[in-house]
Amino acid sequence: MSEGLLSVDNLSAGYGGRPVLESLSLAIPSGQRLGLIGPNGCGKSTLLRTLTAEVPESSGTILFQEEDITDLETDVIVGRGIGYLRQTHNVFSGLTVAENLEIAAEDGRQRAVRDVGAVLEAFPVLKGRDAVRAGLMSGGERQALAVAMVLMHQVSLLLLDEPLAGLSQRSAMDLLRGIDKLQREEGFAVVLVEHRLKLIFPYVDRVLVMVGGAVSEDTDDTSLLENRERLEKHFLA
Amino acid sequence: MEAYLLHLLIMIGIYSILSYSMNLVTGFGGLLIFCLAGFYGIGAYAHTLLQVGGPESQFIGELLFSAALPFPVALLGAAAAGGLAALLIGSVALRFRGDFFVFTTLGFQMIVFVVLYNWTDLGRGAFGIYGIPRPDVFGWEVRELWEYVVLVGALNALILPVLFLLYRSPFGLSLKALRENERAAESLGISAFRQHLSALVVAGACSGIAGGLFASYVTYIDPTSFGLKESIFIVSLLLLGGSGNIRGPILGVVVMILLPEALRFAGLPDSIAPNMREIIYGFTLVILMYWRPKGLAGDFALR
Amino acid sequence: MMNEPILTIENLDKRFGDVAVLRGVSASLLPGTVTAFVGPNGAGKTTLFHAITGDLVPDGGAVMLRGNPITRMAPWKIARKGLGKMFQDVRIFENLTAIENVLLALHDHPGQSAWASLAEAPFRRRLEPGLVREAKSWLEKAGVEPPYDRPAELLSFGNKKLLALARLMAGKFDLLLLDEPTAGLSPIMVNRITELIRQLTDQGITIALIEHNFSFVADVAERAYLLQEGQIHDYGPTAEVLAKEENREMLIGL
Repeated sequence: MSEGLLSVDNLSAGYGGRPVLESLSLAIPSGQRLGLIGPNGCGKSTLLRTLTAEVPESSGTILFQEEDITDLETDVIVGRGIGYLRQTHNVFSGLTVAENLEIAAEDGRQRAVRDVGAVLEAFPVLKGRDAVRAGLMSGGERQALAVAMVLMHQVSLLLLDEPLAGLSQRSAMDLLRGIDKLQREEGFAVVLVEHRLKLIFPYVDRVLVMVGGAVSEDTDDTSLLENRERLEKHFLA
Repeated sequence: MEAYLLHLLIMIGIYSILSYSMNLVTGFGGLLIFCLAGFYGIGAYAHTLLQVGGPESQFIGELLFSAALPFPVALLGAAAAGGLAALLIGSVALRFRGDFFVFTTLGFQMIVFVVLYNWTDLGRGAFGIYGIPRPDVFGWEVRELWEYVVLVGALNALILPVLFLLYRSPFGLSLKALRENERAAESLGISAFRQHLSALVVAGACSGIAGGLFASYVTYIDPTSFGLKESIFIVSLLLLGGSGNIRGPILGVVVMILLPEALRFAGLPDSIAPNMREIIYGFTLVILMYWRPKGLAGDFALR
Repeated sequence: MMNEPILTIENLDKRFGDVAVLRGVSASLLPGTVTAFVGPNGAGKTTLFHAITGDLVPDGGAVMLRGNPITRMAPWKIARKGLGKMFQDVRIFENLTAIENVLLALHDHPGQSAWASLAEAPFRRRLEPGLVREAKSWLEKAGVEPPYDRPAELLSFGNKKLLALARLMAGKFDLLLLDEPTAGLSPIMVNRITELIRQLTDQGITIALIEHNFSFVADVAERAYLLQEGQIHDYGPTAEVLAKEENREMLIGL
């Protein structure tokens, strides 16, 4: 079985005395595309940040490719093949597109570095924009650059924290298509946090609803994303 | 030997005024400043220029101010000058936050030094001013060392209680709140600008008095006593002793003033001792920042 | 309602770079009522609150408190006009005691000048016990768990929120903006906050809140604004706003 990619057991975490994740368990097989949804403040971002050691866990274990990564630092975890797109500060806005990609490709570790061309192929909005400063680009272009930067390395698991926030419908669709293209080629697993549920419907094979720091529903039936009655009990309770 | 101990007591007294002044701004207000020696120097020069004078006047400062005012009045003048300087630099620097604020105070410190150093007409620049009259406090002529100890002690007894009252007052509490979270404090109606500016002015005025005391004790001043190095020394007093309370600053003063003397007694030759002293200061501070960011006895760690 | 609104927001605009976060938002708050601002993530609710409290300067539009413009005023001045707020991340003074936290908000106390503090010093010994007693009574009214003389960082998250409310009560603010008062709280704590809010409005205090806990919103708020992409999408009695199918889809993110 391929369930061994990521397995989270009884994970708890929080900030400043406020518990956010409460004994959360979750397993993600290789190549799965997981949509992580839930009302504001339910702990979606905190889960991703805990997985990448940006927030310390208070208890629980995280196994990645059957190795314990619970106590590793962020850079080591990323080095093992977990790509992580944080919600903010995900590009260097004073640097150009080319410089950003170059920095993303640089790495002291022995890790397969992808060809810039292949990444740009997936995100056409970046083409011919090499010399443009990231800070001057539109939201859609900037997010595409951020995703491209994460994907400059071979990843087995891609964690995306609201990559579509603030984007117009069209740029959001473009970005999703680009990610999907690379995902199909390489088969990495994706965890996608997003609030506009209909948008991600075609791009996920499993939906996990979090409420109050715990899993409220976990289903392969992705039609949940379009079913108001079923969603209401999680979101409007 | 006795004279030497009395001298150390006088210096401890002067620096205790300086470090408790700085404590209000840094330990309570959370603002790191590198210009306290500027206020100290401005106080020393103001005090001097208000006192010196006479037929053999040689520089404009002397001519301008040759009022030959009595000691207590000159000391008040020193306080006013220090406070005014703080008001000036505060109203500029407090428009900035964080590193920019610190750099502005640093810049002010350097300007004060350069002006004192190069404006020879004002205070004879690098030559310094000598022959500063010894204090005459309402008929009490302070001449002996022990008399200076009494004078410095008396001024400590006047100034420190005022500062301590401020530490414990609603004003001091609002400074602590600002130190912790400026936006939260402002949301309760506390103006960061006003409170920080007041703290600076109080600190500037008290430092000015310390400057006047220093001038009338050594009877000779030149700009080198009031440079950046001096400001850094005062910052280190607080870093070492700790700030945000009453025991920290005085501990810093006593340790930092007695430490070099201890080194001297340890048998280091005079040619090496001063350099060793600075190395040891530096080393102590680095170790302290690492292991004990609140200082030896402080309540607050500058981040 | 015949009442004049206590706060009026007119055509507020705010951009961050190329993103328009507020686009011509107008709203008003009626005295003694609770108004909820709901909407999906990124709708601009917190930005709207920051623009009201002076923490952000809006690009266009006006904010009027009791008919007087406060649009470009410093936050501390706005606070002194009676507008209090609780931040999303609470922001109590963690290293000060619970009592000191409340003392800071007491009337005439916040931002007392150095000179006033010195002038008052001779009487401090007489004044202080009274002030401390008053602070304690506010802490008790808010239901903060004692002891009150330890650093506030030792309080639980729920108690920190109650402390923030105690501070606002002590400060006699008559208009409160609460950014997610129930986020991260247990149901028991949510009930306590609900009770407190009821008490406050009974005293004529006006409250605006941002909230994602809709049963809480339905419980406490008379009226609700629904924000979507920086615009007011709907406004009305809370039950009506929350009942509309279109609004429910929007809140879920469909």
